[in-house]
Amino acid sequence: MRRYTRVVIIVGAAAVTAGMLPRIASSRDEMRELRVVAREMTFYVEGQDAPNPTLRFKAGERVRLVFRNADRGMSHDFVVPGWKVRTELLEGAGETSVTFRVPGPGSQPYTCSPHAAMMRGTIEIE
Amino acid sequence: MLALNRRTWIAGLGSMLGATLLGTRKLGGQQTPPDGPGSGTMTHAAHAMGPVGRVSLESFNPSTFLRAWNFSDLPPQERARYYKETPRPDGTLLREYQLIAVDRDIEIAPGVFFPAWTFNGQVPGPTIRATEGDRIRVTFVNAGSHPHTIHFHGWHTPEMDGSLPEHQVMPGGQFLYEFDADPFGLHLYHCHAVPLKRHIHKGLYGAFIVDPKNARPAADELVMVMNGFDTNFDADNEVYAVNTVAHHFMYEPVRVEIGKLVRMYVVNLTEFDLVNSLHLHGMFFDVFRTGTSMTSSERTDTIMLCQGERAIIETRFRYPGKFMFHAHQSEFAELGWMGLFEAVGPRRDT
Repeated sequence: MRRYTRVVIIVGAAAVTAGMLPRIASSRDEMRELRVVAREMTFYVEGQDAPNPTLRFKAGERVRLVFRNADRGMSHDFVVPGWKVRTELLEGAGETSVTFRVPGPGSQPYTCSPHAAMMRGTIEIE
Repeated sequence: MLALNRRTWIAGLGSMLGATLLGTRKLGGQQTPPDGPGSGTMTHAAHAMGPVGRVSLESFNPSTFLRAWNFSDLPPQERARYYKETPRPDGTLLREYQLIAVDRDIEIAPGVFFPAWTFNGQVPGPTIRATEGDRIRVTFVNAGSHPHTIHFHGWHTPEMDGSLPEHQVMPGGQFLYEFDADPFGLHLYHCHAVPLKRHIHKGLYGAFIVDPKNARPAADELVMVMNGFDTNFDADNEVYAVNTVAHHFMYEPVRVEIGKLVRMYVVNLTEFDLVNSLHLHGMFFDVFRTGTSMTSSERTDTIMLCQGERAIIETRFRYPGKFMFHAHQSEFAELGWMGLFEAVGPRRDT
């Protein structure tokens, strides 16, 4: 009796997991990760040299934006005011992330809220 | 009130000059303060110079600052964002700078972070250097949390002075300063927003060197800005340094070549204390006050500078080895304003 219950639970759990698999896989496919770093009061895409680069997204895609502050002692965040997307404010070096879905077309400015005067760039929707 | 005053600092750092300065004080008939260095609470093992541990040099290196001007410490591409020079028909240069006021916590002694207001994220701000007659154009962006200005010493029109309430650039604002580099000499720049002593002492200052048209003789040139930090906001400094980081040059001596002309651009940007000084061990140097003459006005081994005063000093090292330099206000020296030169090469007796 006891063994029968256990088998049912295992089989049931396996079935549920198998049913979820495609869903997990597809949401992973859609989620795009972009790494942005703030260094010397400037935004860069991690590993690239272009200062305050234009970021390109597709309408409707899900984005995980990983934001790293490489300026010790300086407070930075990553904000897209038009989309109400913002990371937490990193007071000093550190890393955080924000996940969002890209709304419809139209370019948007992105900034760092304490340093909007020189840390600003454009997001373009393809 | 945080019990971080001068005396606890002295005791806490355990940073004292052994024979040299203490000896001088005793010769002068003075007593060491009872709770100060050398008191019974500390053993002689604590007579090490400077605090335990090191300041991270990742965001600011005082040794790099010594020999950098016009953003020469940055890679070319990055430098181009802050500095550009364009020849003009009369042979002079248009020098364009971008200076940005920005808040930053900076490490001034191991583990001691100071909530600074900076130009371009560093204290002192970047050294500006031009030749007499060049045109200076500075785009100033205030990305800080308070109103700021840049007030340059030198000849300029009143609207370029950055000193009156109407000159203040609000957070998020910009201003273009433009003037000719005049006269040649060693000058400075600093924020002139009120309260002035707070705005200066928080870190908004830098050296401004104007070279004469007929250049000074080639030399190993060093920019040395004497500064202090009021870490507990009691209008008194707890940490002193040349180029911000206490005791830095004790750990990383300034390497110089024996026999070669060494020229130091010494600017006093200490607030709260009326004077600061520089004393060089084992030698004498020639003094060019404010750098406005090519003729030395005195030969000495100790120079006193008032707030905002500056001098160019020149010397040639004769003997190999390490030579101390420090403020002859012993208290300042013990609280960080001391360092070493390390002279290399064969001894030269003349």
